[in-house]
Amino acid sequence: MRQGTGSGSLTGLLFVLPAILLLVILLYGPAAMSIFNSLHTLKGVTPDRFVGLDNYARLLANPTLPSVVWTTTVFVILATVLTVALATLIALAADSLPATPARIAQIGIILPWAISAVVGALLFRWFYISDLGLFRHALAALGFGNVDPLMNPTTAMAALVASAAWKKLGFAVILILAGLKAIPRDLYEAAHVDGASGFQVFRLVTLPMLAGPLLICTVVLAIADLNSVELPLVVTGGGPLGSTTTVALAIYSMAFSQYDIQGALTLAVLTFLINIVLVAVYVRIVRRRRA
Amino acid sequence: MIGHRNLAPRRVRALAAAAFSLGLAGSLAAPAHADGTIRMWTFLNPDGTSGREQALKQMIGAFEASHPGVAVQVEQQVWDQMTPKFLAAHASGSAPDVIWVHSEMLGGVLDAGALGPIAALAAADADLANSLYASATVDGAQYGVGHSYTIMGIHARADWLKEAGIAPDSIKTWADLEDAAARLTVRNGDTVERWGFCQHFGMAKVDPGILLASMLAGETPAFAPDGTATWATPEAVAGLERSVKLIRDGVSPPDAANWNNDDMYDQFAAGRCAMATGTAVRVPKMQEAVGAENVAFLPYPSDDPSRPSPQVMNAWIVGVWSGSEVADLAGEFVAALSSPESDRLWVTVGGAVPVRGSTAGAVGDFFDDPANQYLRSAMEYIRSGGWVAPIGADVGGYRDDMNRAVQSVLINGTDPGAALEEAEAAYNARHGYAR
Repeated sequence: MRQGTGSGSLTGLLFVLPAILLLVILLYGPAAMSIFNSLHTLKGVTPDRFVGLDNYARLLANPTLPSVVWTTTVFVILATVLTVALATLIALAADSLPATPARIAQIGIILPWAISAVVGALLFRWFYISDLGLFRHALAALGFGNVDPLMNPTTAMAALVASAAWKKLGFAVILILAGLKAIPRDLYEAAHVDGASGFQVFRLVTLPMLAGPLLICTVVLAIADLNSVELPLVVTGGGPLGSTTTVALAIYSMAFSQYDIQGALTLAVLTFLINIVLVAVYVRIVRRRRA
Repeated sequence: MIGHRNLAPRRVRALAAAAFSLGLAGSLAAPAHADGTIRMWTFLNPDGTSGREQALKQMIGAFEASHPGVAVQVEQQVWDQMTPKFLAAHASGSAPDVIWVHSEMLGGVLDAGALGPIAALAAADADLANSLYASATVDGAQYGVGHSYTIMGIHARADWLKEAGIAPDSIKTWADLEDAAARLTVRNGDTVERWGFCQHFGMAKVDPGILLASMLAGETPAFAPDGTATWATPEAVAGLERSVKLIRDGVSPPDAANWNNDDMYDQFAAGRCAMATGTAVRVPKMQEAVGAENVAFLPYPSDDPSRPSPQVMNAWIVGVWSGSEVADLAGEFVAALSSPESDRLWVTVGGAVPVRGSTAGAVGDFFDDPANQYLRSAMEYIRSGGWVAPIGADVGGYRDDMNRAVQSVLINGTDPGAALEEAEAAYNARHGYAR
C-alpha cells in the first residue's frame, strides 16, 4: 500500500474527520460516559459517588438476570440459525433461476428487510394477537383449536423467532447469494466431470466455498438480534412471564418503565462488551478471508 | 480562473475537506440559544389535530403575540421516554428551557436539581392548589404546575349500556361491574364478538386496573411513604381473583395477558370491548373513534356503593430547567400555560380536566354537554378517589410487577396470594426496599 505524503495524510484525515466526529459524539463518547457512570451512583443521571464495581455486583445478584441471559441466548441462536438456514436454501434456489425470475425473487425477498422495523413488528403482533386474526384461523383450520401463541412461553418464543427470521431473511439471502455468485464455475464443472452427485457438490464445493459469507452473515445477524429492542417490545412485550424478555428489552424496560437508569446503564455496558467480542470475531473472519 | 491557478489541487481538496468537517462539526454542536427563544419538550405537537395540541398552539400564539421577539420552539418527544431523556439532557447541559415531567418521576427530577424555581408562579395560589401542586413546592418556591390531570377509570360504551338498560352511574359495586360485563358480552357460537370488560396484563406500556383499585381500597397502604410495597393483602387477593374470574367467565379476553394499553384502546375503538380500563385523558381519542356521545367515563366500583375505589391519578408537571438561559421568560410562559384564560382553553378546546378550581364553575355549560360529561366525572373521581404515588419515592415498574402476578395466576395457575407475595418481593428487592 502506498504511504501518503504529509499533506496527503492531512487531506485524508480531514475527509475522515466527519466520520470520526460522528463516532466520537454518538458512540465512543456515550460509551465512555456510560462506563464511567456505571462505576458511580447516580443522582438523576449525574454521577455522584464512586462505588467501583458495586453496580455490577448488584446487577449480577438480580434474580431475573440469569433468565434474561438464557432467553437472549435462546432467541439469538434460534433466530440466527433459522435465518441462515432458510436464507441458504432460498439463495441456492435463486442462484439456479434464470436472470429475470431471479431478480423478481430477490426483490420479493428483500422487501421485509426494507420495511420499517416497527411496522414489521406491528404486522406480526396483529397477525398473532387478535383472536379474529389470520394466524388463529389458520391454526383452527389445521385442527389446533383456539390456540394463542403469545400466551405460552414456548410458542411465544417461537413466534418471536419467526418474526426475527422473516425480518432479516432478505438481508441474509442477498449476502449468501453474493457468496454463491463468487464461487468459480469451473469448480462445479470439475466436480460434475468427477461424477459428484448434487448433494456431494453442495457438501464438497458450495459449502466450503460459502463458509466465509455464512460466518459473516451469522455474526452480523447475531449482533442484530442481540441488540433488537423493537421486535420483542412490539411482538410479545417480553411476555408471557418474561419468557421473551431479551437483554436489549430488559435495558429498555429498566430505563423507561422501571426508571432504573443505573441498572439499565450497567446492563448496557455489559451488553456493549459482548458486542465488542462479536465485532472482534467478525473483523477476524473478514481479515482471514482477505488474507 | 486566477484562483484555480493559484491554488494547488491538493490544497483545494484539503480546504474542501476542512470546510466539510467544520460545517458538520458546527451542525452537530448544541443549538445556539437565540435570545427570546424558549425551547420546550412536550409530547404534544402544536401542529397536530388533537384538542390539547390545538389548545397549546393557541396558547403559544397568544404568548408570542404578547411578547414580541419571543418564539416558543416545541420539540415533540415520546411521552414515556421524555423525563429520563430530560435528566440525561440536564446532565449534559443541553436540556430544553421548559419541560413536562411525569408526576411519578417528579421527586427524582427535583432531587437531581434539574428544575429551577419559577418566580412567576405563587406557591400559595389557592386556585391552583392540590396535592400535586404542593409536591412541586420546595421551601416556599414553586418548581412547576400540573397539566393534563388524569385518573384511571373505566371507559364504557354509553350507547351499549343504554341498550342493555344499564345506567352508567348504577355501576357502584364490583358485583354491578361483573353483572354489566356479562350482559354486555356478545357471543356468536364459539367466537366472542364483543367483550364485556377489557383489561390488559402485558409487561410493557401498561396501566393499572381492578387489581390496584382493590389494593388501594384496602386498609393496608399498598405503598409506604418510602415506596416499599405491601401487596399480598386480602383486598388485593380479592382484586386479582376478580380479574381472573372475569376472564374465566368469558367476559374479559384471555389474550389480554399479553396486551399493552395501546392494544386495549385499539380494541375499544374497534368496538370489541364494551367497557375497558382507561385513563380520562384518552376519552377524546375514543370519542373520535366511536362517537362523541358514546363514551362514558366511570370510576372504579368498590364493595361500598357509597364511594368508588381509589385509583391512580397523575399529571404532567410543567417546569423550567435549572440551567435555562432564559429562565425568567420560560417561567412567564409556564405561568401563561396555567392562566385562567389558558385553563379554559385546555378544558374547552383540549378536553382536559381543569387545573384551576375556578375554571370548573366558569365552564359549567361546557360540562353539561353529553360529549363533555366525562370531564366532570373525571374531575369528581380525582377529588373522591384520586391516589398519588408517594412523591419522591421510587415506585418505577410497579404496574409491570402487578401484571406479572396476574399472568402467573392465568398462565401457571399460581395461587393469587403467592403470586402477589412473589410480585411484592420482586418489586421490593429491585428497589432495595426491605420488609
